[in-house]
Amino acid sequence: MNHSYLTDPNTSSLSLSGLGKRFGSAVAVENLTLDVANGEFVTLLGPSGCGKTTTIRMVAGYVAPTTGRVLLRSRDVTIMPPQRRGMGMVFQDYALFPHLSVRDNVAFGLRMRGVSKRTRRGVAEEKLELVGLREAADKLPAELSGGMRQRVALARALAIDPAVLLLDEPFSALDAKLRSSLRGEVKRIQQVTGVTTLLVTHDQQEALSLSDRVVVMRDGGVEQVGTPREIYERPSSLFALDFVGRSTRFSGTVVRREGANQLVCDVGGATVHACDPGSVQPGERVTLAIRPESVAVSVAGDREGQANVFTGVLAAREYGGGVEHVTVDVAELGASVLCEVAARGECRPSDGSVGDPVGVCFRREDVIVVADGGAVSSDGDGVAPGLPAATVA
Amino acid sequence: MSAAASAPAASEERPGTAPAAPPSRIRRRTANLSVADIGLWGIAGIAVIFLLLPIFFALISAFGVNRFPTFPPDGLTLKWFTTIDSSYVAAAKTSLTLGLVTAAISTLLGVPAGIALARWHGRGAAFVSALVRSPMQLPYIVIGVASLQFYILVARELDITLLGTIGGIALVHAVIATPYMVGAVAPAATGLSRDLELAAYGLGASRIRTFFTVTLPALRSAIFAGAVFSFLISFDDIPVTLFLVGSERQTLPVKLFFGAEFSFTPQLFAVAATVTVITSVVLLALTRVLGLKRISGV
Repeated sequence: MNHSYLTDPNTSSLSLSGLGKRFGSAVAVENLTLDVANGEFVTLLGPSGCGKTTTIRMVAGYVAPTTGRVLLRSRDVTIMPPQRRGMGMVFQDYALFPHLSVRDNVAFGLRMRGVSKRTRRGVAEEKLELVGLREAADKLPAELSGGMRQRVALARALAIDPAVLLLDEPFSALDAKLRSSLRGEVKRIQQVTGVTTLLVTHDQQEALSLSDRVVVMRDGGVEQVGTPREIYERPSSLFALDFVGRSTRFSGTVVRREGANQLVCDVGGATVHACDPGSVQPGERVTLAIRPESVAVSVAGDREGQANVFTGVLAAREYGGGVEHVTVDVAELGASVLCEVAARGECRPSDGSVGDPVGVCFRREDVIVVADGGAVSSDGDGVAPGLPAATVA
Repeated sequence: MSAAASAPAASEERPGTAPAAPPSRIRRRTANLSVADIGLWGIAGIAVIFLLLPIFFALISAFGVNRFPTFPPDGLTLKWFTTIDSSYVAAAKTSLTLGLVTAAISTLLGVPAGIALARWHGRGAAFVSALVRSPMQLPYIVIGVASLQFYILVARELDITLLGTIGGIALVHAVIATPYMVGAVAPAATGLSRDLELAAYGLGASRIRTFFTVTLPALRSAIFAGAVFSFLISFDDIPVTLFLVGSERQTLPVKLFFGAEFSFTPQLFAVAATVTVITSVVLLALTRVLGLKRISGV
């Protein structure tokens, strides 16, 4: 973690150190260390079973950790009951109290704190205003749509002025369109209130669009921590590469370094140029990957002589509205390269049809380099030596 | 019962129309559904008539002028209502008290038991669940005789009189009513998301406060249904009560039972009619007040 400004203990709002949880002999979370700065939006991203939900429940106080500590504004709250932590949690199923009106749901936390009726009414109105549901104050949760319930749950969590806002898969029960509009809403509210936020999700889009930092989790441990851009553009492992976004992968060997950060790699006889500020050395085995949107499709032979230009055969076109996915079989690389091009506008691809020879090219800066040593995925999706594989994650 | 009987009829008709093209299939399906609907309503109607006809005859007989129930009556009168013996009013009061005490005991025992059974998945849960529900499987006569013997024993050994007292009878009524309360609460508690309570904890509510402000209100319609059941089981009971009442304190059903046995008069029908109307009105009102109107929090 090279974000010293985000991990400074003086400004950190929430610190997890060496946090672990075992259920019997099963390890749910192991040795998780993370600092969340004041006002920061951090996302735990990973597939189901990676330990992200157990982690957020340990932060909330619903699950007692087996090892490690939870610090809230430098105070050890590891064994503090949830009642006294002052966390605002939004549950996957929202967990709104079915017998209470929207207003009473939002005011519940203040009622438990003995705040006067007048004051809590005012706060409830204010939070409902914030989420745009003021007119629904007198309704029961059952009378609301899924999106509205989610916003009530958010208002209820914010009403207690939480130390940390915890969001446990808050968008998963909603349909795609609503999900993206509520995502924007949550981001806006988080920025307005400046509340430190921890989100748990398996949806990479959510993680990338909302977070200041993303923690990619796998099998109870942290795989990579970084800004959304770092996670997407410089994944540090094959798992992170596969889990976030789509890519075409090639397995190769580093031939030599050129200058400070340029690499020349051999992929089954073909030469691929890449950039890597890291430490891979000539002779090392690496996995190279290219994102679909980084690949340009052109007429074959168009850009002869440039780096990373290859000739292939157009294998498939898939129209997707705004974008079109084009698959090009490149014999040289022994792979089917997935390309994403704008379906309309100036940069429209040539109207080739399946079977036509086409060229693909990509900038060396866009090639993702993952060193194979120690970082090879063990889930059976590792790349066999000399057999470049195309991966669509 | 009626709904289940008509459902297969509706599904049997569908395969025949299946090969048709999509648009016409939609039309045919709607047609099938309306045929099924008519069948369903028909059977429901027959069931209602089947269930309510005896009550209807009792009501008619209460207003008939004939000394012995005749149908149709030769004329209508209110005289049987005005000549109801005051002992029936006393018996009704006893039954009402018993019903309320029984409902209270079964709520106090059945609600925690129902919630516990819904959440306990460990070893022995199925056994305890069966044990809690076991009074439903015993004939009421057996429970009545057993209680009588137990109360005689208690009176002899401990010098405590339970036989013929409101408390003693209500305790036995609660034995047969509590399984119904458990049966109403356990499924509702199973369906309740645990996150509801976690959310309350997170918002600062203690466990006890959460139980009273979140868990119980969320289960209130099941608890209400269980309490009404408990009340009615006690209010209706003859076989158990028969063994436990004394000659000076009788419940309404037991008094009606003996009345029908020894002095069959239209006053019995008048009493039955009055009780039927009052319970129906009270039940409807309670459903309105407790079932539909929400309990306000803030």
